[in-house]
Parts: sequence; C-alpha cells; structure tokens
Amino acid sequence: MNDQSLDSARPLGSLEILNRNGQVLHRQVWNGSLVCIGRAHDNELVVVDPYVSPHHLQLSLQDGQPQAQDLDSLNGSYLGSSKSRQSLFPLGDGQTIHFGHSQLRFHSCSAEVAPTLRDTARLGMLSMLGSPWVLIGAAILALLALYASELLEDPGKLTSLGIAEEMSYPLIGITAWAGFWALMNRVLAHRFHFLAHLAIAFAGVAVLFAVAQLITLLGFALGLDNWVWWLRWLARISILGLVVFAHSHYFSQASPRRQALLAGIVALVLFGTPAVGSFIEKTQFSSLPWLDPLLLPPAYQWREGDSMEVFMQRAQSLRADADAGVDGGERD
Amino acid sequence: MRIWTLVLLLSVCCPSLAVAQSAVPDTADLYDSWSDRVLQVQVIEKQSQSKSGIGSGFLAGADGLVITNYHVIADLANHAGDYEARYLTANGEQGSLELVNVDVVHDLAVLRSSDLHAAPLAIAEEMPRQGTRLYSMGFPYDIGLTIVEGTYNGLLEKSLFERMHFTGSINPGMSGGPVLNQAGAVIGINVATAGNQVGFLIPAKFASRLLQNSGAEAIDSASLHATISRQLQDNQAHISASLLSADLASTQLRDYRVAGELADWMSCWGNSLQNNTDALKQVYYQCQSQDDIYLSDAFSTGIIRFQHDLISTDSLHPLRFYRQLQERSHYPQLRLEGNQETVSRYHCLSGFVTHAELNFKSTICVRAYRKLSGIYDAYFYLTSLVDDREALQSTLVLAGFSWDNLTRLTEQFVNSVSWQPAQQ
Repeated sequence: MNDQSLDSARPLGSLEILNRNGQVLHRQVWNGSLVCIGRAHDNELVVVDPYVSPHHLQLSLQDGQPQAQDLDSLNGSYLGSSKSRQSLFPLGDGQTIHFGHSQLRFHSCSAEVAPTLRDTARLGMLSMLGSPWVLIGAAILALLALYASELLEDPGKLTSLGIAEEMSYPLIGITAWAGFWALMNRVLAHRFHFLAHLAIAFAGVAVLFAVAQLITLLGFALGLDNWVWWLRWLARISILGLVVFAHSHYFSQASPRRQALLAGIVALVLFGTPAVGSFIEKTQFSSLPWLDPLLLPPAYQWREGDSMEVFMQRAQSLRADADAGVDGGERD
Repeated sequence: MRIWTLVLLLSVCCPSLAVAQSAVPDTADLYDSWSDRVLQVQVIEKQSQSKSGIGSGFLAGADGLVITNYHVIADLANHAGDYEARYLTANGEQGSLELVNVDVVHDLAVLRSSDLHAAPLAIAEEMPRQGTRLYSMGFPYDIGLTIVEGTYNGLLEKSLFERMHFTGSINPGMSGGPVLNQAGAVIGINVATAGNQVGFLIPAKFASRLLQNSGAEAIDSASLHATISRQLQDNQAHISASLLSADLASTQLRDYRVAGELADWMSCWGNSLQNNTDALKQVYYQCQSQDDIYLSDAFSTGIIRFQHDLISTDSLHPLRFYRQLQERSHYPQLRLEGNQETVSRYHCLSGFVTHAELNFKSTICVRAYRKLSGIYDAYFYLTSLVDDREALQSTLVLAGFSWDNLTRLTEQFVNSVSWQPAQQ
C-alpha cells in the first residue's frame, strides 16, 4: 500500500484503512486534497481487498468539510453502522465508512489520542528483570532453596545425583509456570520475555523457601507450634499472590488494584484449595492423631520449657474441646 | 463373635501322664445331665433376620437368667435397635433373649428368657486345684452342643484380669459356654483360645457377682451406657492407683532412664534397627498391657502402651537429623481403635517441657468417648532436645481413663525419664 504523503500543506488530519475486525492496516496524513480510494494502482490510496472496486470512493473538501463520494462501486459504501447504501456523505471526525470488507476512518488534527502506555518492562522496579544478572541471581537462589529443601527431606538415602533428580521435578514446574506467563505476555502485550518471567518464578521459589524456614525457626524457637499451620498457609498464599502480581504487572496495563485482585484470586485458587483440604484433613475425624510438632536442634530453642504440671494445665483446654466434640460440636 | 488369639512360641513337650483316677464319671452321663442348661446364643440382625454372631451361654440364675460373654452380644449392646438375641437349645428349642446386665471388664453379660425353666447350673465359689479335670461345653462352629474334657492349669500370671488356663479344645462358638467340674458346678466361662489345647476361662466368681447385681428386667440403653461407664471408671481407677502408688519401674535405654515394665500384666520387648538405606539408627523399647477391654469389633479400651525410640545418626547434620525426627512424628508408632460412633476426634497441643534439666518438645492429643461420659483416650509424644545427633522419642497411649488419671499417668511417665549415662 502506498505510504506517501499527499501534500506538503498543513495537514487536516489522518486517514486510516482498517480491516473488518477494526485493525488498522494503514494510516496516512491528509491535507484535504482529492483522494481516490480503490483497488486500482492509480489511486492515491490503494486498498488490498477483493471486495473493493478499482475506483471505489473519493474524498474531498466541500466548504472546509470532508466529504466522501461513492464512485458507483459494485458493493457500495455505508456510513457507520447504517445498512443503507449512500453515494455522498459528509465525514465527521472519527466517523467510519464501510466499503467492501474494509473501513475508512478520518481523524482531524484536533482529535484526542489515547494516553501513552507505560512500558513496565522497561521502566520501574521490574525493568531489572530484563538483566541476565537478575535471572542468574534468582536462579542460583532458587536452586539453593530446592537443594536445601530436598536435603532436609532426605534421611540420608540420596546421592547428590539423586537430589539433582528430585530437584528436576520442581524445575520443570517452574519452567512451565514461566512459560505460561510468557505466553500470556505474548497474547496480551505482544512480547514473550520468557527469561524475565523465569526470573520472577525463581525469585518466588527462593522467597517461599526462605519464609517457610523462617516460620519454622521462629515457630520452634518461640514454641508457636499451634500457630505454624496458619502461618505457613498464609505465607504461601501471600507469596504466590505477590509472584502472580509481579508476572501480571510486568506486562499488563490494568490498574494495580485490578492486578492485585487477580493475583489474590489466582493465589487463593492455587493454594487456598489445598489449604482448605489440609484444614479438613486436620480437623475431620481420624483414628490417628494429627501430630505436627516442630523440631529443630536444641540450640534453636529460645523459650523456656514449662513444667509438666503447667503443660498439662494448658492441656485442660483439650478436654473441653473433646467434650464439646462429643456433645455434637463435631459432625464430620 | 470374637475369639482372641494369642501367639505363643512354646516348645511343647507332652509327657505321657497316666494318672489313675478313681470313680471318673462317664462323660456321656455328664453331658446328659447338663445339656438342657447350655444354650447357643445367637445375635440376629433384624432387617436380614440372619445371624450376625453366635456364641454359647448357660442358665445360671433364677428367672431364666443366662450367662454368656459380653463379646458375644456386643452388637446387641451397641445397637439395640438393629439386633436381637435368641437362644437355641441342644434339642432345637428356640426363644428370645433380652439383655439384663453386662460386665465389660470381665467380658460377661447376663441375658434373660421367660421361656427357660430348666434348673440353673450351680456356680462354684472356690477355685479348683491345678490339674483338676474339667468339662467345657458349647456350640463350636455352629455344629451342635459339644462337651470337651480338659484340665485346669492355674491362673495366668501376666494378666491384668484373672484368667484361668484350661488345657482343652475351646473353639469359636463356645465363647460364653460353661466349664464345669465333675460335681456339675460352673468353675469358669469359656472366653478365648490360643489354639493347641490352650484355652482361657473367666473365673466363675465374676459371673456370680454379676448375677447378684442383676435385676430381672431388661436394661435400657442409657442404663447400659451408665453401667459400662462406671465399670470402666472403676477399672481405670484401680489400674491408675496401682501404677501411681509408687515410682514407675524404669529401664535403661543407652544414656536415658525411661519407663519400663510397669506391672507384671504388661509385656515389653525391644530391639535395635539400622536401616541400610538411611542414616538413622534406632533402638526401641515397647510395652503394652495384655488385656484390652473389648467394647465392639472396632473398639477396645483399658489400654496402656508406650514406646521409647532412641534415634541417632553419625552422618546427618543436626538440622537434617531433627527434620527426620519431625517427619517421624507424623506417623504415630502406636495406634488406638475407634470410629466416629465411639469417640470424638483428637485435639492436640504442643509445647516445650522441662523436667530434671532435660528439655522436651511434647505433644498431647486427647479424645473423649461419645456414649461413655468422663472417659478419654490420650496420645502423648515427646522428643528430647538434648543432643544434636541423638534424641529420645517416647510415645504413651492411654485408652479409657478419667481426665485426672490420664493427667497423672502422663506426668508420671515424663517424670520417669532422666538422663543417666551408663557407667562404662
């Protein structure tokens, strides 16, 4: 399609050719001179559309007002959403003429344009995610976290190779997660930035591990065993929410509030569901007790132990709970 | 029907004894004179009108009272609306029975029928001498009334409740049947077998006591539960008093002094394990009471069990070692029966406990009995926090105790743990 400027005089506005889906195929400045539009190569604006006649429309200025005239085309021209064929019509600012399977739109010079989008991938805190060093740093932290996690789980059975194999499963999951967000980025913002999303995912894993260990440490040191279940799930849901927010904020133009809402919903669905499952398992009837004491080496005990008498006095509350369960409080 | 089976690893030799006995009565005559007073007790599921369990029983009191084992009629006791009891005599007469009283601790029940008018069997007040010839009667495997000759071989030594050792074949279906002496007095009641002619009887004096405490009317559900509650309370009070009256017996587990064989009715054993696939070494010591109280197929009580595990490692970092101890905690070593119908769920609490300059991480879980008020099960678990590469993990399980006794026994269990390095 021809992209040449029509005149060197002061422009009147711009002309756009759109396809039937509203996607702009061509835009050029218009200074008000006569413009012929059609499929033939001698037109000022050549349209590649088999439903458009060789000489379909012409645009001109009549008393300073843009006007379109149908040149007896085969399929006709239509103003806006009108179904009636017209041969001559004034063309206002922002109005569209349908012809063939294409559209013509005029914007005057004074027409407002949409605000400039902020490129969040290049601006702000998240712009650092484009740096390979951030990716390398996050990857190292995540690998250390996964290695430490596998090492803690293992009772001395696994070799280093075995631990590496165990780590491969979460790594596949992390890669798939980053791939999903890169795909979302591609669909919504036309860019992949897979490595940036991988850096976010790695950072999330590292933070998740670090916070889990911190909760275990504080829970044990201060004897908060009975709160740790809640703290663990709260931390998991919060961190996942932050990770989802970071992924979405990296490419989405939606308001931070809407992104936070989305992140919260995703985190609640992904981690809230297993949390509810775990809670049900913890509180429903079982012939086995739910034993979940935190254990760390003796040096991490910061709180003094109670005497057995005091401990059993605290356990009095269990008696009331069990009696309440018998009296009908528990229906599992 | 339930038959308890014990596995006895005995090298049995059978010396041939030819004891001349004068005036040994003909067993056929004894059978003839007692057979009209021994019954098959059937528990019938009402909807299908089919037998859900069978056992034996005998007439043992005025007004058609029948003695059998509690475990024979447990379904009737637990679900009176769903089951009914009937009797069948050796000559084919049938009739209905109603539950009058139970003694769950000694596994006895009293039933009554208004149709039975045969003279009751007499109950002997004194125990026989060891070696006395006895006759066990009952309906083994639902194949008709049987008489089995055997001998009395004394009371079991390692039993919480008195149990007589009867050398003779007691088989499934004979539970609740009488064991008589030659004079026709009931000496004991069939209750269990270990196979190979090793049988166990309930001394008849407990049946006699139960009869004295029984009225002539059927017991309703609320009274039944109150009776069982009271019996369990009395039993746990008796056990607790005997255990709490002195320091607990203890045993040495490397550098720890821990609760050991608390009473002669507990059975203890231990071993050491080294799993080649991981870096943990385990020495364990386990004890449990020998005589659970049967309440239903899915539920027994009156239990004391405990286990000490001394876990150590040479190679694991302390963080990894204690993480493994934490993982072990998720899978309780000792388990109790029970379902939603019988008990609440467990409610648990964890915390640090310090005793005798030893630190522990302790967890206690408690559940209450649904129909038997004031009775609880407890699961107590401790891990010592003393050494970076060695820890004691002890578990105490108490089933069927009052809150006060449960508290005292748990405290005593912890108080019995101390750090006493063995002398080299």
